Amino acid sequence: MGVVSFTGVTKVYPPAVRALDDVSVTIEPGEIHAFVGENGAGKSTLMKVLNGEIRPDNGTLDVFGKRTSYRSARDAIADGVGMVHQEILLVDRLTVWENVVLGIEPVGRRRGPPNAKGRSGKSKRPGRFGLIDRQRAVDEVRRTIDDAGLSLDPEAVVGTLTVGARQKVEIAKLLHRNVKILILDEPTAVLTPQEIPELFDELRRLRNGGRTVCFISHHLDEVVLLADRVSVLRDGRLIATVDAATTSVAALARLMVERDVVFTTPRPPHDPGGAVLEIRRLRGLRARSSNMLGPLDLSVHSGEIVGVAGVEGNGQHDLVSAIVGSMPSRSDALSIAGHDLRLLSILDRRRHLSYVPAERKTEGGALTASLVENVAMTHHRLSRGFSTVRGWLFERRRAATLAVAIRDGFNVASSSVEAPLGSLSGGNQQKVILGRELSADRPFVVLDQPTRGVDVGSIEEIHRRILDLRTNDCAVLVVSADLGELLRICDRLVVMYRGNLVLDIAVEDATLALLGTAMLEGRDDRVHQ
Amino acid sequence: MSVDRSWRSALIGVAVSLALGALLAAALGYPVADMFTALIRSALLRPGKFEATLANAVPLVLTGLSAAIAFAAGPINLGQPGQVLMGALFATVAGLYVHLPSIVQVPIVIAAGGLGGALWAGVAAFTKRRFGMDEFIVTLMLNEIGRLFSDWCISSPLQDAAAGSVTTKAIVPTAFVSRWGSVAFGLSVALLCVVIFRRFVIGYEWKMMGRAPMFARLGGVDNDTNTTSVLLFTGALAGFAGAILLAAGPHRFVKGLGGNYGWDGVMIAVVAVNALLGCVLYALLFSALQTGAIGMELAADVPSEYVQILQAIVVLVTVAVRGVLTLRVRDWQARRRARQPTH
Repeated sequence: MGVVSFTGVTKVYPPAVRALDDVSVTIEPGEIHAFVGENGAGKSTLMKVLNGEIRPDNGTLDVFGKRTSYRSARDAIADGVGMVHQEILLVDRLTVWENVVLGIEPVGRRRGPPNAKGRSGKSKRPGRFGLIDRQRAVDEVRRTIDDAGLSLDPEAVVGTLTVGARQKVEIAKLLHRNVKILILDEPTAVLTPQEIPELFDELRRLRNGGRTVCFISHHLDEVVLLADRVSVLRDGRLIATVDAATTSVAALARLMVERDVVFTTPRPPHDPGGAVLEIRRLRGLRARSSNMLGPLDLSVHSGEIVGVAGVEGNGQHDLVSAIVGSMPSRSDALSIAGHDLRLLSILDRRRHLSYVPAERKTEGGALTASLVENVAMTHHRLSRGFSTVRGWLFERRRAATLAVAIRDGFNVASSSVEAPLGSLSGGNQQKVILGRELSADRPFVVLDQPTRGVDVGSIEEIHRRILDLRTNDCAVLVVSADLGELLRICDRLVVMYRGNLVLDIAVEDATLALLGTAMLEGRDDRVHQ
Repeated sequence: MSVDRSWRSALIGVAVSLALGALLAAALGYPVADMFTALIRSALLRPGKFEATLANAVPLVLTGLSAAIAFAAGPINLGQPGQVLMGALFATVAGLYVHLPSIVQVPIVIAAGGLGGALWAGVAAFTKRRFGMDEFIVTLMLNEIGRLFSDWCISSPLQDAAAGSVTTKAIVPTAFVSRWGSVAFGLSVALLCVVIFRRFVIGYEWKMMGRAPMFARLGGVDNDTNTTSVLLFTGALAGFAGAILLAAGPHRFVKGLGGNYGWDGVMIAVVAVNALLGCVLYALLFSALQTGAIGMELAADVPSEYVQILQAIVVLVTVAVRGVLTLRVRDWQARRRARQPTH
């Protein structure tokens, strides 16, 4: 008898998307259970059912041997089930302990024996009239943190913490609410390579302390490393639950996509040509992150893929925005294939570059608009045949032809090109966006997080397309938080740290240690060798 | 989840709100059957009433489209009341001081109305572009300024000294627009709006800007220019409404000429979820209610103000029905599908 058992759980998103289809799986007490699957396979939905955020349309969920009917995440927490979401929701200006007790603040006079020396003075402060008993709160939070073996300072202000530490605050919040079953949604997606082992140690400690951990991950190597058992979902169905000790990354990938996935994308040797993108002393005029961009130099040659690595928020997005023209910048040179971009509008820059933005849902496309309308963007002003009568009339039929071509050429799973983009899975949306940009045939392509939140099958396709660009002598700039991705497809890597380029290295010479120091400390270790 | 714009929810909404309106009328002691009979008779069946309902719908269609197009494209233009008045004012001037054959005079008067509305909205477009001021606030505040300015114009420089009330002189007869003329004009403008959104590059850009402004901007669309063009265009639509009110109505700018057409347009856009065809249909419904109101009062002794309550119920219930009822239906469909085994 497990602590959690799903029986025949089905969830339909209207009108007819079966996000979960008759899923039955049992989670044993004190295990780390991983859920893997392509995007849209149903793993997040399944976890949200357990967390009370989603009510199944059919089937039952038993927790601690008791039939449940959660109406909200609050009900689940009361039952000892809690989830750490990908987006961390904490109050930056409050301290760790304040965030942890938020909503369940200890109020009133301290009960039980007063603490030993030193604190008795403070603890006499009465907590009547609904005042928070600060000392008691701090002590209780400290006990929670220590019991779990999390390395956190309860008095630290959350705004000053790293993403990894904030994640721990979220975990502490749940533990403080006496949660016995912890769910983590892609916990490593926001962490640097150095932070991941620490999180894993802490999760193992929680398991050894008797708690049950469920987590979702796209990184199969992590799954094999951390989990006790792994459940694989595909198209809303449970395909298999296997022991992590007896499986492998390749075996899991095969279960996920029902075919062999090539993890080492073949990168044939290809000599880069002349410089296409040339940047000299580029400086941002408005800092979006706390660090001002530049001044920095960068060049990308034709037939070359350059990857931009770095901890998120170190100016990668500003660099891309300055190139595209959505953020004001100054520079001694900013040109593509000899065309000076500096005085050009976004539209005129788009004559020379293709751009896949990081935010698929708000910048890459319009979710409520149809595929046709999504693929027409930019083409409607710059490409032949998309507008007629001196650019006044919009040629919807030409856009529809392109949409069909992209759907067929990029294997986009969509019934109709008139369907809204939002009805597609994340991977298919990204393929539509990529298809639109690549059909413009520009000498320079910039891709910001091209495979974020994209399923394994689509990642393979997208990487293949990027490598095709290289073969066709395009200059490509890829920004990604996924180091593995950059190492796989790039010829050269640059690392950004606080708005500057601190390392520029051929991928053959790059080691995780070199990249890690550059990303975390902004240091080029090669100099000190 | 996108908002349900289906016929089903619209019909359910209207049916439920009329039923609620009947219940409320019964509770207030009004003769429900007589009330609806009288309403329908004096809105549609009595001689000339059907045409009157159609003609009265034209300004509502225009202000409704004005609000709906602005909302769908992004800019919040809430200045229809002021733009209607400024449109009427410009049309009045054109109708008083231009003397040409009807075939030229009428287009000039209507175009002057559009110009007045566009200029008034253009103030908001300018302050938005130049100073980054929120068009939502500026258009709203310009309503009051437009009302006071037009009141001053008709009571001082343009006032008809011979008239006993606050009004201008009558515009020249060649500027008069017939009922059917105004209906034809309203229909053509509605059709033009649909064509702009479906067939014109600018309509595509407006739509994309409304759906995802950052997507449009990064795709090379000039959102600043398009915000300006949307405000000017929707201002012109409201201005047309003012011109039609004048040229097909009392032929002189009387105090209170704009009525509640501006706000009713905003309401229609909200009920129609910015759908262009929906605007036309709800405008017809509201026009029928308003046209039948006086007849209802005379025949069934129900105060004509009750029609305003009916309108309010239609708005609230239609919006609520869309939100709640359709969600329930989807939920139920999901459950039914979930129980059908697929393997």
